[in-house]
Order: sequence, then C-alpha cells, then structure tokens
Amino acid sequence: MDATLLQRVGYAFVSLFVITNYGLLLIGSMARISAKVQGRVGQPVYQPYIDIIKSSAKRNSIGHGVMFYLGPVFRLAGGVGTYMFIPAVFGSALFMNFSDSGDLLLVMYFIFFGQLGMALGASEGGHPYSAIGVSRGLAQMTAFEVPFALSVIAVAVQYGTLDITAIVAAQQGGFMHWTLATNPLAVVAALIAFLGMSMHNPFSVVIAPQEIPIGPPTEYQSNLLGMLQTNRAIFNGAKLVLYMNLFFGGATNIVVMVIKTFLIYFINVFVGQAFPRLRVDQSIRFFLGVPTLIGIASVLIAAF
Amino acid sequence: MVNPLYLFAASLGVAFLLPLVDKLGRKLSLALAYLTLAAWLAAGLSYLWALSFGGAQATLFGTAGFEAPLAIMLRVGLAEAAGLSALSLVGLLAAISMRNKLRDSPIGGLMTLLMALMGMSGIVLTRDLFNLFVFLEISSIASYGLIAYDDRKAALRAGFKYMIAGGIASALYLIGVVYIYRFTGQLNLDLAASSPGLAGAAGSAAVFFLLAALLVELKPFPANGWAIDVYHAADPGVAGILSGASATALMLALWKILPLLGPAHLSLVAGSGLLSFVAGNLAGARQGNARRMLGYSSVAQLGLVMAVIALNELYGLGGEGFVYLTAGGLLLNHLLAKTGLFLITEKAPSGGTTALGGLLALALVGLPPFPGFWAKWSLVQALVAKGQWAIIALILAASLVEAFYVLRWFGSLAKGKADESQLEPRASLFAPALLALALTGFGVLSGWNAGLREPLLWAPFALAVLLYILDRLSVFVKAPLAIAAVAAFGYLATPGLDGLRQFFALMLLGGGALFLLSAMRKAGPRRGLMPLLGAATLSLGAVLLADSALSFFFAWEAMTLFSYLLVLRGKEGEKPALSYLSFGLGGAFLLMLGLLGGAGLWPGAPAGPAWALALAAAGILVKLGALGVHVWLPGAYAEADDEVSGFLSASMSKAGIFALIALMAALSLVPAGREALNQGWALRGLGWLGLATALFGALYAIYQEDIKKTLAWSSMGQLGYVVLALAINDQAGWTTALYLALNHFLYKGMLFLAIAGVVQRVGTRNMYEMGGLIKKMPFSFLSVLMAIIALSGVPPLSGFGGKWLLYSSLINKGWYLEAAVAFFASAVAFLYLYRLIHSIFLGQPKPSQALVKEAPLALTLPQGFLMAILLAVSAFPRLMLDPIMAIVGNRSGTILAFEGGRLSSPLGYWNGTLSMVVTAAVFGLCFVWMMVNLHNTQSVKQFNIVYAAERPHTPATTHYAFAFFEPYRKALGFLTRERAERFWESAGGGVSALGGALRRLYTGNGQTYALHIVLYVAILYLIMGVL
Repeated sequence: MDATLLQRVGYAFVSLFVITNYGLLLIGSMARISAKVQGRVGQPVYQPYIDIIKSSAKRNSIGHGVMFYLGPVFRLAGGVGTYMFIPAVFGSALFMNFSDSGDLLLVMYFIFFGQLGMALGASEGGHPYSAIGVSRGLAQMTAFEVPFALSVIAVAVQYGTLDITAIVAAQQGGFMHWTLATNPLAVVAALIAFLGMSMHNPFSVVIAPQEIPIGPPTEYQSNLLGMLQTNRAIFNGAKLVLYMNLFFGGATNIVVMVIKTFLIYFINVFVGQAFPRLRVDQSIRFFLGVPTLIGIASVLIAAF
Repeated sequence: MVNPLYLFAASLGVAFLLPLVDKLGRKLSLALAYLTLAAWLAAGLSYLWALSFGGAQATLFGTAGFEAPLAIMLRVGLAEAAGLSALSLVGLLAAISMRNKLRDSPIGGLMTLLMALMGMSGIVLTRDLFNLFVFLEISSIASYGLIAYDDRKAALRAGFKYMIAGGIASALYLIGVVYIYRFTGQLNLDLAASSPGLAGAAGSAAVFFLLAALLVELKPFPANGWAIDVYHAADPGVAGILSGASATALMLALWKILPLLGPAHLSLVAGSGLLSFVAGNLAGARQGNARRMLGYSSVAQLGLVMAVIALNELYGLGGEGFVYLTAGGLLLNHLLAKTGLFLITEKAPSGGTTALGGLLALALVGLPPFPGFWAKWSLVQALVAKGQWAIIALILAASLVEAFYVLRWFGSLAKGKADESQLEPRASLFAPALLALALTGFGVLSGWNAGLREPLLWAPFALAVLLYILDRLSVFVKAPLAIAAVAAFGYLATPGLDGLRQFFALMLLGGGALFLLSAMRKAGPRRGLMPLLGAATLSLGAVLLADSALSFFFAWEAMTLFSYLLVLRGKEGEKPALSYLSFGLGGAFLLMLGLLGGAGLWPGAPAGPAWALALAAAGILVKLGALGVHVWLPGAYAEADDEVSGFLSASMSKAGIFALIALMAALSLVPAGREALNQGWALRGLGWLGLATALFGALYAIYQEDIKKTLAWSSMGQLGYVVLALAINDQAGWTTALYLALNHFLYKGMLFLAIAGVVQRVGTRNMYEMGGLIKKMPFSFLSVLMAIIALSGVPPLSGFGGKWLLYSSLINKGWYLEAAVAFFASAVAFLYLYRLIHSIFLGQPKPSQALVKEAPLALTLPQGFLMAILLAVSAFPRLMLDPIMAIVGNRSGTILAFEGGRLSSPLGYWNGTLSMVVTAAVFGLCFVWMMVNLHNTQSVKQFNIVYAAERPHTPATTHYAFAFFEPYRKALGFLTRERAERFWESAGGGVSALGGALRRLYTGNGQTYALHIVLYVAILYLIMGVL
C-alpha cells in the first residue's frame, strides 16, 4: 500500500510479464503432455512463443471494420485487466497488482469484459461460424456460471468476505485450512465449472477445435491472432491464480504459485483426455444438474 | 318554480296537435316537438338551480289546488330535478340525432317520442301510486310505438316482446297497488308509507308485487331478454332513450318506493341488482355486436345502481348524500355515456368518432376524470368501511369484465372497424359530443367536490385537451410545447417534494421530456401522440404529488388511462392494449382496495393494516409485470410506438417502483409495520418473486425474433432485480434498488431510442432481417454497445455497480441462494444482449439495407445525453450514489459507506474510479499494441469472402441468426413454456364460456321471455319468504 503510483505501475508490468511467460509455457507443456497421452511426440514447449511471433510478423490480409479490430483489444484488455484485479501472490507488493479496485465480484464480472468485446469483434467479420461459436459459448457460459457462483458464494459465506486477499489470509496455516479441506463440495463444484470455463473436452464444442474451426477466432489472423494467443496465456493464468486463491490456500511465493496452478490446470487435461465431447444442450443440462446441486450443498454447509 | 302540470299539458297538447300541424310541414312539427322537449329540460334545470343555489326547498304540487289524499301530488326535490334534467337532456339529444329518420317516417314516431318522455317525467315527479302506474303505462305504450316507429321487422318483433314484458309488469304492479290501497286506504306514497297497514306478511306481499313490477321494468337478469333484443334492434336513438332516460325514471321510481320496503325487499333488490351486474357483464364479454353489447352493459349498470340504493338502506353505507354521490353518479355516468355510445354505433369510424367513442367508453368503465370514477371510489370506500368483501369482489370483478368488453369494442373502433350494417350515413356527432362534454364537466365537478383541488393533479388532463386542440399542427410545434409544459410542471412541483420523490421526478418527468423530444424523429402532426405522451408524463408527475389515497389513485388511474391509449395508438396495438388495460385495471382495483384499507403511499401517511398493504403491493406488482401477471407486458411494450415503448420501459415502469418504495417507506415508519417487515417471510417471498421475474424475463428474452419483444422481456427482468433488492429492505438493499432503477432508466432509454432509430430506418423489427448496420448507423451502435455493457453489468460502466451492490446486499443479508439465481439470471442476459447487438449491427449486411442512414437527430441527441450521464456516473459513482445514499439514510444500521472513491460493504469493496482508470489504461495499452503491429491492412467488402450458399429465400429457417439459441431452448425450454399466458388465457376463456352459457337464456322468443319474467318473480317471492 505504501508504494507510489509509479512503483505500482512498474510492479504491475513485472507481474504481467511473469504471468504471460508462465501462461505460455503452461500451454506449451500441456499440449505436449496431451500429445504424449495420445502417443504422439507433440510440439515443443516453446511453440506458443513461435506462434505469437509468427502471427505478429505477418501482414494483416483482411480487416472488416472498427469493431473487428477492437475485438482482440477488448479480449486482451479483458485478460490483462482480470489479472490486474487479482492479487497473485499473498503478501507480495510486487504481485498485488491493482486488486484494491474491487473485490471478487469485480473479478467475476470483468471476466465478461473480454468475452463480450471479442464476441462483438468476431461478429463484425460476418462469418456465421464465429457467431455460432459465440452463441454456443454464451449458452454454455450461463450454465457453468451457476455452480461457479454457488461455490464463490459458499466461500464468501465461509470466510465472511469477498475480499480475495482476506480469503487467502483465512486459508493460511497449512492444508487443513484450505477451502479444499474445509468445504470440499464448493471446490468440486468450482472445478467442474472450471472445465467448462476452459472449453476443453468434454465442453469444447464451443470452438470445435478438431474439425471446422468454429468460434470467435475463425476470421482472425496475423497480429490480431497473436493478441488472442497472448491473451489465452494471460487469461488462463489469471483464472488459475483466482482458483488457487479461492480454494487452494493461495501462494506466498512465486514457486508455490507455479506448482499449484500447474496442478490445477492439469485437472483439465486429465479430464479432457478421458471424456468425449458433449453437445451444448447436453452440457447446459449437465452443469445445471449435479454440479449445481453440489454447489447448493456447499452453500448450505457454509451457511449452517 | 314553475308548476310541472303546465309541462304535461304542453306535451299532451303538442302531441295531439302534431298530426294537424304536420299538414303544414314536417319541419314545423319537428320544431314544435323539440321546443317541448327543450321546455322540459329548461324546467328541470331551473328546478335544479333553484334547489341547489336559489335556496328553494323541495316542493309538492297538488293537482287542482287540493292536497293529498284528495289530489295527485307531484314532487320536485333535488333528486327529481336532477332526474328530470338528465332524462330530458338525453331525450332531447337522442331526438336531435334521430331528426333525419323522424323526418322521413310517419308522424306517429314523433308523437310517441313526446309521450314516452312525458311518461318518464311523470314517473319521476309523481307521488301517487296509481298515477305512477298510469305514467308507467303511458311511457311503456309510447315506447312500444317508438321502438317500431321506423317500421323495420326486427324492431317490430323487439317491440312486441317489450310489450309482453311490459304487460306482465303492469299486471303485477296493479295487483300490488290494489292490495296496498286495500291495506292502507291510501294511494299517496307518503301517506301509504306512514300507514301501519303495511306491517305484516300480507302488507309485505303487497309491496312485493309493486317492487317486482318495478324490478322487471328495470331489466334484471335473467328476466331481461326482451330488453336486450330491444337494445339490439331498435334505432340507436331509441335505445339511448330506453337505456338512459327510461332507466333514470324507473330508478327514481324505485328510489321513491324505498320507504315502503322492508329488509327482505331490500335484500331482493340488492341481490337481484348484483346478479344483474355480474351476469350482464359476463354475457357482454362474449358479445360481438356493438348495440347488443351496450345492451348487456346497460342491464349491468342498472343492476349496480339498484344494488347500491338497496345496499345503502341495508348497511347504512352513508345516508342520502352518499346515494346522490354514488348511485346518482353511477346513473348519470351510465345514462350520458350509454346514450352517447348507442348514438356512436351508427357513425362510421373517423378521428372524431374515435375521440368521442373513446371518451364515452372510458367514462363508462369508470376511469378518471368521469363521474363513474368518483362514484365507484366512494362506493368501494363505503363497502370497505363496512367490511363487505364479497360484494366488493363481485363488483370489481364484474367491472373489470365490463371494461374488457367495452374497451375491446373501442379498440376495434379506433382501428377503423365497424359493423357496416349499423351505419347511418346521415348521423352526426353533435349529440355524442354534447354528452361527452357533459360527462367531462360533471366528472371534473365531482372531483372538485371530492376535494381534489390541486391544479397540478389535473394538469395531465388539461395538457391532453390543449394538445388535442392543437393536434393538427406539426410535431415540431407540439413537442417543444409539451416539453415546456413538463418543465413547468417540474418547476412547480418538485421543490415541494422530498428527496425520494425528487429522485423519481428526474426519471419520470425528465424521461418523459426526453421521449417527447424523440417524437420529433418523424415530421408531420403524428396525431394523438403528443397529447397522450405529454399527459402520460404529467400523470407520472402527479403520482409523485399525491398526498391522499384518492389523489394517489386518481393519478395512478390517469397514468393507466393515458398509457393504455398510447399502446392502442401503436399499429398493431389493439390486442396488446386491451390486455394491458385489463391487467392495469385489475392491478388498480387491488391498489384501490389497499389504499382504502389504509395503505399510505404519500409522505406522512399511516401504514395501515397488513392486508391493505399486501393488496396494494399486489396491485403494484401487476403494474410492474411480476412473473405470473406479466402477460400484458411484452405485447404492450412491443406494439406501442417506438418512442412510447421506451417511455413505458424507462420511465413509466419507475412509477411502479416508486409506489412499491413508498409503500415500504410508509411501512417502516410505524412500529407495527417494522415488526411485520422484520418477520421476513413476506419480504423473502417478495424477493423470490422479483428474482423469478428477473430470471424468466431473461429466459423469455433470448428466444425472441422481434427486437422490441426482446427489450420488453428484458425490462421485465430488470425490474425484477429492483423488486428483489427492495425486498432486502436495509440500507444496502434500498441503495441497490434506487441505483438499479436509475441505471435501468439510463440504459433502457438508450436502447429503446437506438432501436427506435433502427426500426425507423430499416422498417422491420425482426432481428434476422437486419445485419451489419454498424457501418450505416455507428452512433446507434455505440449507444447500444454502451447500454448493453451497462445492462449486463460488465465493468467499468455503471452497471457493474448495480451488480456489486446487489450481490453484496444479498450475501450480507444471508440470501445466498437468491444471489446464485440472480447470478444465473444476469448471465442469461448476456445471451439476448449479444444477439441483439450482433444480429442488428454486426454480421452480414443485408443488400436491401445498403442505403440506410443514421437515425435522426431527435433520437441521437437524447441518446448522446444519456450516454454522457452514463459515462460520468460510471467514472465517478459517487455522483449517483451520494444522493441515493442520502435519500435512503440510515435504515437500521449503515451497511455501505464511502471512503474516498472506495465503497465498502461488510464483505468487500469497490472502487469505481480506480477500476475505470485501470481498465482504460489496460485497454489503451492493448489498443496501442494492436495499432503498432498493424501492417498492410486490406479492407474487404462483404462479398470478398466466401458465403456458404446462395441467398436464402426463407431467412426465417435458413439464416443462422434465426432461432439463434436453439440449443438453449432444447436444454431449458421447458422452463419457458408460457404457463402464465395459458393460465390467464384459460381464465379468460372460462369467463367467456360462462358468458356464453348465460347468453343461451336469450333465445329471442317472446314466450320464453315471458316465462323468464314470471319465473323470476316467483323465485324472488320464494326467496323473500326465506329472508
């Protein structure tokens, strides 16, 4: 709190630099792990860097209008902004970012900022597949937000606060103080929601990565695509940090953060490799079924 | 006072001279007849003047200079004078409107007309029982002739049935008179009433026959088939005379014999009257033919008046003054409006017909400022005081049905539909106009009398009249005028208001002015729009000004009235307007009961008992479109004119919110109310209702193809959040509710204005018929973009503040599941918002819309204004929250507090300014990053890219933006099968089926009708035996 504004801006850049690189490496390593599971060699861990550099270097062959350009800006700003509102490492001035702008609610709603802008930008491209991807994504989003919201409410009730730093503080003192140990149902609900949020299998029909590319990025190329790829790393990192803070005791230094977030992300890959894909209506019903009940149970447990 | 005997002599003389005079020309005979009628009217008015202002007393005129019992006495009191004036006025006006037909038909028509009216006047004046019989016979026989005067077969048949019924009634009457004379030795009413001879069973039976005859003449259900057929078949002028004038006379006859009646008799009158009111209206609900429908309504109205007279005697509702006010008011309202409406039915639809038909129809259903409104208010007030709930429920339910079918007819009239076979090319609007004028005058007088003297409360009506007079002028003249009127109203009204009311004045009056401005988007006079929109705006202001139950209800009904007409003005507005009004009135009736029960909605008002508050709250929730009673909402919002939709959603809906807040404020002022609030279950229920409204509003919105329907459902949902927040009922909840309300005003205003522009330019409301408009209408796009960001609650715009406040207050209150459902609902909102902006502004441009221009300045200007406000309050939330928190004050503990720019709750914090700065900085950096890396861009046109197939012929099925969220429907569609709609539809169907069943009684066969009458009297007699 004592840092000057200029210092805080400097810290924020450092923090952003760390999370960007970490996010990129995380994506690269997960892709490689997936390949191993499927019996392939897979890409090198540093492939995401190559992709971004290559994309950024290309000429912009096609532009569709103002909103089309603003889409990736919104998206990247959404990712960076989300990260900026989360304290990444407990007690660290360097990684506290601008978390004094607002509490958990601000973070949860800022997640939508990039998604909304991106959806609009992609829509100006006029490609039906973008819009269809958005419609599926939004539909699925409304559903997985329910167990997520419930588990967040459970956490807020349990710790009596929505301040992320305070939630982390309450979990200090060993594994038995983590939300994972004190309210496991909330964590289960949130992790199931996380699968949807990450749009990996079995909830990947939104972007349908294996067949015709569907989803917002359909029409994007060159540096615009590069921005989207960068965002993916940062946004993933931000969400992982958020989960770590809420449910897994947070991190007191950067090494703990890396280990914990890596493991959390691994859940995705693990489930994604094991389960086939659901249709959108199936996934909506899925999220509003058992995970929601688990979420409600977690709230009730926290409340009484 | 002139002796009425001269008038009888004049009538008789002229009637018998007419065949001779007619040889000199029909014009002369007409003039003579009209002169005679005018003389009656003049006499009636002179009596009225002398009795009310001239200090005269009620006077008895004896025939031939003797007193009773030697002579027949004629009495002129206030009731007689009023009745005489009213029936002569109606008679004269009906006669004037019949002048063409009277000129062409045999002279007998004119003679019977004079005789009929003279007979009715005699019924009003006489105090002699046998003389009453004579006048009954004179008026009946003349009426048979009059019904058939134009020699049409249907009228002849109807007249014959009338004669049968009249004959039976006369026979009964005569029996009654004979026995009364036998028991009392008197024929004079006053002497007979004071005679002990009528005590006991025999006397009671004698009076019963007298009463039964009058009841039959008053056309009670079910012994009234003959009357319905007459109304249906007779000339509308004749129908007007029978429905208005004759009914007045007979009602006064009934009133006259009241002293003879015992409690059992009175119960019969009350029961029979109520039954007629209910059954008449039920039967009317099914009726398509205008005159027959008016006939049913006449039957019903007479039943109500009859019931009021009897109920007053039975329960002591309020003495003679009360009867004048209610029964008199209802009768006056009925006779003026009904006569006018009968005359209107023969006029082809036009602007004037619509305006007059509207005035008369609205008067008939008892909307302000007409006499029926005041009468109904006093009636229900008295019944509430006596705790007569069943009777109140019957009366209000039947009134609602009546409003439904009368205004259904008016709706079709306003849309230019009419029954061709009933039209009369030579009909004029003179008589209906005079009647409407009289109704308005009496209405204003009654209101003045009832103590409503604040000129600003009447301002909406004054403005409506003023702008209607100027209606031919261009909208560019009228709109500034209307805005000036709103500004003047605000200037005069707001300084005296408290903070809460000033806050709402901003949205109600300011919003009204904004939408009035936007009405200049189209040139030309735009007739009807300005008077109604201006008046609706002022009526919203009047709601804030109200300082008594009556003034609040007056303003509330005025608001319902003007907004109904606004919805009706929409191109396809007929059905939605009817459903809007039906629910609006239903809600208003609940509110009325609540207000009369003691629910106070104005500063310093007492809170009243819990049931009153619950009723008032239920009424307000109907107005807000809470789930279950929301079915009026989408149609009304969608089909109104585009600027009107915005007005309804952004401004008028806030009046409901205001009423709810006022109710809760009143509640928390008194200890008992606070206790009730603290018990919680009621509030929790209210909260869940708000929440369900929010969720289902959003769910319905995502499936709409029509943009305005989307916005309509969205409005419903957003108001649900406000209700939820209010139910929290602490400092945080109230702050949230007010914040959400103001925010909704801002972004819904922008959305509706922008969409108005789009619809105006594109010419369709179907989203799949639009696309790519961002390049044609960038300003509208920006406006919609900001609005949807604010609506969805995405930071950094002010909408997030609303979400933060809502969740913080909910979790703080301990309403966890509510918070989760609210989160789900607000996530669902993303679906329809994305679809809205995407399908209209993004995606593939439509070739047919290549030449579309930006919306007119009249729309973009207000949007720009709202955008600026939205940005300011987003960057500096204290601009909005400081005043709100000052209004809310410290309700049972401070929960939210500001430290600098940081708003803290017990759970967390939010710094709107800082999050705005961080977002702006991050966005700016990303933007710079993009620009730096942008090289060699090649802009492409629409068809540079592959488009999957040829242009589809049926976009409804092949376009990807159609049925956009089909998977969602597949997964959750079962939630949104329109249950409430089906419920209300089947409720309506049930009422209509009941009406249909009742109508089967009316076979059209004279013998059957005679049987009805005899059975009716027999059953009444039996019932009297039980009583």
